[in-house]
Amino acid sequence: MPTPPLNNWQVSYSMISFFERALNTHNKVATFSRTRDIFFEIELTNGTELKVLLVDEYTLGLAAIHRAQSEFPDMEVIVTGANWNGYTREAKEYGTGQNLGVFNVEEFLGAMNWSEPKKYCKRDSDGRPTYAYH
Amino acid sequence: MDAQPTLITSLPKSSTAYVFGSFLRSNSPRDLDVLIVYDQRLCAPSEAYRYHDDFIRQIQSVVNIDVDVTLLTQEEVKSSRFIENTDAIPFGDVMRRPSERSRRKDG
Repeated sequence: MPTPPLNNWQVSYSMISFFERALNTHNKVATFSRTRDIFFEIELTNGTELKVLLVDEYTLGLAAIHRAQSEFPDMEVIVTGANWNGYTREAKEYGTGQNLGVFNVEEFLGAMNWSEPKKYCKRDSDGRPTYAYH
Repeated sequence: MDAQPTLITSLPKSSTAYVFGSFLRSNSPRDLDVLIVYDQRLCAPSEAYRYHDDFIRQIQSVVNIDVDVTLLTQEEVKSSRFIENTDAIPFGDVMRRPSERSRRKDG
């Protein structure tokens, strides 16, 4: 039988728990709260507040981002919650134009160390930007 | 499988659907991963879920496992090489040929 959904984005309890543990142990996170199962309000130690939606999209695309914006109008960051998950170039570019952070979970945990988390991008050993493009 | 013709006709003509993931490889898949590719000139990304709602609902009504839908524009599919990277199979082929799953597992 299909698993009864706790959220209509099919984000599992284990993924939510993993994300909460990561926030609890992140040294730049002061406090956070969770509503509607997958929507996090995070306050960083520098006072920055971030409204973050956690999803589990193997490839996060434009349609999913638009749906998320419609269902969570306050969303500032969308995180697809596994290191093997990613997003399309088009989704990242749309997010950049909308001042919306689009990350996979590894990138987001790095972004919270950054002064402007939504603009963060990971860099390789030569300093070149790398993205979790699918 | 009797519902397959209805499923196919409920997919907008300008869109195509594929199956990928564990459904193609497992005897007891946890979920059915479906990719829907749509034409951004005919359906804005902001309308894509609503535009394909009938098709998504009908899949959910005939399979007894969770259905995970990924909706991507034709351009996104091309730039991400999603079909090549996931070995996705056209939805109609999978529904028409129940032996496809076992053949691929054996192969």
